[in-house]
Amino acid sequence: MIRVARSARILARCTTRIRARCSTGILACVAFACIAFLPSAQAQDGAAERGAQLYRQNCAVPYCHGPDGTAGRAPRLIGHNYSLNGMFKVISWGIPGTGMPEFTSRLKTREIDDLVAFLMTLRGTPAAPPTAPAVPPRALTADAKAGRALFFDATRTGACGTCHELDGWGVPVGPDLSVLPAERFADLREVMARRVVTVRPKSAEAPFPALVLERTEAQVRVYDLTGPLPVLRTFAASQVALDAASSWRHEQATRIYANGELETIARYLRWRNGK
Amino acid sequence: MWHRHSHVARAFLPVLVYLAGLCFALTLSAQTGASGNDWPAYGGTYAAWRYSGLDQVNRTNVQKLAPAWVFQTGDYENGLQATPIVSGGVLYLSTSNAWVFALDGATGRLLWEYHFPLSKSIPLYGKQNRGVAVGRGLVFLGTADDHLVALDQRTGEEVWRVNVEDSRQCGCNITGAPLVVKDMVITGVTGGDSAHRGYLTAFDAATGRMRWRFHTIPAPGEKGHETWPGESWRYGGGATWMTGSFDPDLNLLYWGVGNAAADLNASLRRGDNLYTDSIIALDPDTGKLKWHYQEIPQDVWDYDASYELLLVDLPVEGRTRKALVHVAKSGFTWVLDRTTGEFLTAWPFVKNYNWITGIARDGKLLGRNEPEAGKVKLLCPSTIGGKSWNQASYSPRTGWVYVPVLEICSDLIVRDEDPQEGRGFTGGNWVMKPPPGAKQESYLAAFDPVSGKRQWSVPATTWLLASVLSTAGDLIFSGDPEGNFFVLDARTGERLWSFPTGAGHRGSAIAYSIGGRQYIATPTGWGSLIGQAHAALWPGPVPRGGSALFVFALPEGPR
Repeated sequence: MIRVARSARILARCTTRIRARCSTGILACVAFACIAFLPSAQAQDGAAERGAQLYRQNCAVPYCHGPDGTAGRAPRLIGHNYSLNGMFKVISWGIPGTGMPEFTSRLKTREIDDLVAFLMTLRGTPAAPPTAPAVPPRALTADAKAGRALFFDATRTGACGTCHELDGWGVPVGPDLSVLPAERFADLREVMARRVVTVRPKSAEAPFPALVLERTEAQVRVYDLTGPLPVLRTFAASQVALDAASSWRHEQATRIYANGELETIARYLRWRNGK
Repeated sequence: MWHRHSHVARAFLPVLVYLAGLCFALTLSAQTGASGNDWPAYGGTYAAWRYSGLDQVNRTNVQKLAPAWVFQTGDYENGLQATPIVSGGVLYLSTSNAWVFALDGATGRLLWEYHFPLSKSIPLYGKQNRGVAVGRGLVFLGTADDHLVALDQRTGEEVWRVNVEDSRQCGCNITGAPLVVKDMVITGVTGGDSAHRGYLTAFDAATGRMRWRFHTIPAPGEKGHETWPGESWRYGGGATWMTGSFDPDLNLLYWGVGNAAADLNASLRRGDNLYTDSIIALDPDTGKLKWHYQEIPQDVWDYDASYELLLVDLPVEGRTRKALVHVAKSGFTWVLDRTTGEFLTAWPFVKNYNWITGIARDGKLLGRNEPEAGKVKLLCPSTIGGKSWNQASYSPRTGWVYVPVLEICSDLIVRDEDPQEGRGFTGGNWVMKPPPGAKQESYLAAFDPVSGKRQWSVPATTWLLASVLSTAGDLIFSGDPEGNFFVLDARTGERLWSFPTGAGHRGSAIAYSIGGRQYIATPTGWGSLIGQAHAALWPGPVPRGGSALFVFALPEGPR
């Protein structure tokens, strides 16, 4: 009951803002709400404006919702579709384990009402649900999780993700692993790297192994594989010669892992690409 | 290339000789800290003084200063935060969207421009760019999606680029200017407010190949790892988001390391948390640590030690010391011996601080006042800092540092948060508030770098988020959010001149000289993460965005 009363009260404050967007039926409801809670509504004139100021002070932290409700790590608020009660609850009590704190210890109930009144002005039409991925991602098994963690292990410079993009992480330099048959992931040290060439600069620089990204009459763009981080280098076509043969082996890239770790990664890739 | 003078400058040798003599008389280190005709590095020179040895514009004629040219970048996102670099009379400027411009420093004529193709996925640190580095015939740019790019200095054509880390995974990017040291280019990364482990990386300038990487949080088995319990080291912050300094004589590279993560909550990381909130000195040839000084063990206030490191030789207790001066976010200035890392002194530059009661003679923090779970605590300075990243300046002529001070506090609220790789990891929230029993304010002040004695201060209308430039003309330049580019007398703080540029200032002014004519260039255009907080703090209009470089000089002809 208390919750219903609060909803109506806040709705009343939002009348002017919502009018443009509401159907007649809701307008009637709002009108009723205004009559039913007239004293409250009058007292709350300017709630959205006060809420805007509270928003700037409490929520607009650039790392959170941002000054316009568009920035940061927290959900975008411009055009949101949250319910009034849902917002009141989340603002009051936070979302444990996430960046969303509780505000009951800092804001009065009335201030949270004002904040919600302001947030209602940011509300938009419900957006179409995002297109579902063609294949819904499967939950990782513990073993696959361990393999993926090694694949993207940020504690070692030159992890697999430095050269391979997979499921939204990593740098797409080497082959797209998501399309390879599962049985191709055996001993990762022995992976054939047929596309690796030798670049022979016509300067004093020594030849180096590379993947060719682009080759036109004017220029050659290659990923230099010498170091742990691939370097996209651009040469005038006249500055370099390309040699299809290379002594580079995938083992040079996998040396940062122990053999057991490579097996774990291979199992993850087989699991990922398996049926 | 750092001390090269162009042939044009030779005609003005007497001026230079006079200048050099003057600087010598005051301090021996003036030669290394003052910039000459060019502005070759982020902080002016490797010593990061933001002090120009040029004195053609001075107290007697500054009123005649007038625009020489203006350049509009066309990239209005997040304002213009860069420090321009001037090399051989060409000015290099970068913008938030990773566009780079090479301009004729005398006329503003566009020589070339480059637009990096930024990816759509930008981490929470946003699109910010504080400038390029120039050296070895290349222009180096860090990007908001965590690439380091090398361009041909003459043509602007891309020579190489490296994705330093996938920004979708690390949640980190590059907003600071890189630093060219010897045949390498060195860059830090953001990520200190995310579940990320910071590092500094050196690349071969010519090829882009990685030379070394120094992790600011030691791995298992490395010294200092014992200051991180459990798995906390993996996500402990320690970003390297600003630009370091270099002492060629000592062959030491200095870098400031940011806060520990989660910022406000140390429940998962009880320990000193090395090397967060530390100044580190590395051997630039190997990336090996030579010394470190941790200002704040187990930081719970988000007080990074990331800001500029001014390399100044100072008299301390009757002895000239090769010092390093760090005007820090915590509202204190630390002075260290830059040869050894020994603590020399520390002094507060803000009036309002309550996170500690003081600093002992041995550098130990006294009376720590920490945020507490389940409580709202008003702590000063705020998480924006007693000063933001906009830089202070040191003038060898007065021997003072000039600091844009912020007297703002914040309510800190701690909460438990689980780290998720690359996601925000602040462990709490903050709300900006005025200091208890005092007004919220900002001012530009001059301090003695050893005693900390305030010499003068000049209040701002709102706050100061632009860097400070000092010159041998005994002038102090900076800009305000209201759009005024202004000049103060370095000795008295008297306001001598100002010019309405029409957009807020969040960048860093520089001075240079071409053909015997001194120019002062300032970026304009409000922006940045902190800049966005303006409306929450100050009444009145929101500072205007924009993205233009204003360049001033004395009128041509007899001066």
